[in-house]
Amino acid sequence: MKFALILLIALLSAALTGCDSGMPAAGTPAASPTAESAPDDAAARAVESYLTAKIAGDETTIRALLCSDMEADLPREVTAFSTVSDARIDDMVCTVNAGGATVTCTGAIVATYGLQDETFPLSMYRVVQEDGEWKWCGEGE
Amino acid sequence: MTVTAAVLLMHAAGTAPVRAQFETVTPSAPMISTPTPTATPSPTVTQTPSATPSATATPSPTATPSATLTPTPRATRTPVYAAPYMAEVIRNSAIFAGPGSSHREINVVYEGGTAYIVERNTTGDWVRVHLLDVRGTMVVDGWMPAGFLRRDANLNYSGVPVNGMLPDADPSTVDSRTVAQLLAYPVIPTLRPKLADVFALGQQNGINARAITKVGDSVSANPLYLVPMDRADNRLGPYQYLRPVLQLFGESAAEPSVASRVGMTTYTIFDPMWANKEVCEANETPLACEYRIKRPFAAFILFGANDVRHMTDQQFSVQMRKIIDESLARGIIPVLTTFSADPNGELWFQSLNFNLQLAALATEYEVPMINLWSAARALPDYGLEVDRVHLRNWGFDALRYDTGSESFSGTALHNLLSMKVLDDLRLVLDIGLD
Repeated sequence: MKFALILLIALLSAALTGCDSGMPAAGTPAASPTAESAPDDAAARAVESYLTAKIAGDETTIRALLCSDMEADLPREVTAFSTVSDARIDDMVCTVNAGGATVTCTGAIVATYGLQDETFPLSMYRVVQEDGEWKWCGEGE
Repeated sequence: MTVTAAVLLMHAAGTAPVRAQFETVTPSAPMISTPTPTATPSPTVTQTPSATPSATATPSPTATPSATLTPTPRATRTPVYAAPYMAEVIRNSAIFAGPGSSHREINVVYEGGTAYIVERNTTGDWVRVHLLDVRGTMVVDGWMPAGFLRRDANLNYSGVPVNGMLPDADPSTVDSRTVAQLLAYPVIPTLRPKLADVFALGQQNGINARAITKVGDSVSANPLYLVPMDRADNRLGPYQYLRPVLQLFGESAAEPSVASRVGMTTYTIFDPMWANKEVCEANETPLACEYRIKRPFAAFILFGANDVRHMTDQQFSVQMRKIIDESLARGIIPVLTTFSADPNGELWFQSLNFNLQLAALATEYEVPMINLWSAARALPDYGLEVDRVHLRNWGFDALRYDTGSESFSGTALHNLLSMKVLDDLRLVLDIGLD
């Protein structure tokens, strides 16, 4: 019983030490990205979600993640990959650029038309925050 | 109100092309409702003309060719028989009262037979022929697809009289009102005076008068569409009058177009994601990118085969309007093209409606439209591949009009009609090698 009490105190002490330093304790995995993590990261995740929805023609998600300036382009966005099949995104990695207004993605959309593959390299996209949510707003310039 | 419209008058019944010019007409009688041919084809084979054409005979200038087969307007024309050209028939064919498969069938001709070419339409893909009986008497006078005849190097359309008076189709022979409406539009468009203004604007904007481009889906992206114009081994066959078109625009036609891509639609032509990132700027649409790079004076635009599967005809019209607007704003002449369709296909009626939208836009904007849909109806399988979407190729990498490919291959016909329009444009806009 006494041994268990000592062990508990030691563990609590170690945990508090880690919090004070602001760094995770050695060997502790970093927190996985979520919508509630850093705002920059949320913008990148929004772009990834948007691109994934676009190749799938997922109108609900596209509508939710499309910025208001581009609402008129909704039909184009929803049908953008409807004429090709098996669309997928290879090696997508999106990161927020300095300033936070754009997200650059590497990787490419690959789709099949007939017997041939068509490739659409990912690029840099504008993001805006509307009603607290990050929205995709077309390609950045 | 009378509005000036232009009609290109070319090759008018002579051996030398007539200088292109504009003509004033009143568009108050729209093409869509007026083509009611006055021709009354002869149902018999008993006519005995006063002249008997042969391959070597010098035709009588006073010969009167089968008046009952000739529409009223032609009654005042100079008789034909300038130099009848004898050709072997290589495919069974109907003989029609006019230059198009919707004209009344008046007879048939069989493979191995002989026909005498006495006239052609403005392009030359249809010829008026005479068939003779064993005594050398002309017994049939009508029109057939030119590619169904074996043509050797001696046939040059520059020496064949042109009959540009007959309509390309006779809508009165079809039951469908929609089909009749679409048939009423000519295969080769009339060129309106507005195009000169567009061309002038383009020159102010720095367009290249020797550059053309193509805009569209996989039908246009086909590497055998326009691209072969630059090849040295092309054979134009009887279409030697198109040689200047190859010289002027072949180099440009061979350059790739970023606005023509498989799977492209009238939506994605405005999607920067569909632009070629190697040459296009950030957030630049494929259309804007192509126009910026090539600065063409004319763009051959063909959409529909993909769009018809994913949007309404009204949406299609809106998108096509955007393409036309952007082209005209830059001083680029948009040449619209209807797309071929299979009457047995599930999208047949939608395709008709889409094409009618194109025709309405061409009329409204006074821009050229090639009615490929109409011309392709005479081809086997409507010029289409087995997928009934893409146009059939002709089996060579180079243009081979010596083989009659324009009467078998939708792509060969597409090329031919596009080159014909280019020829008309370069004449009326005075585009030369200088």
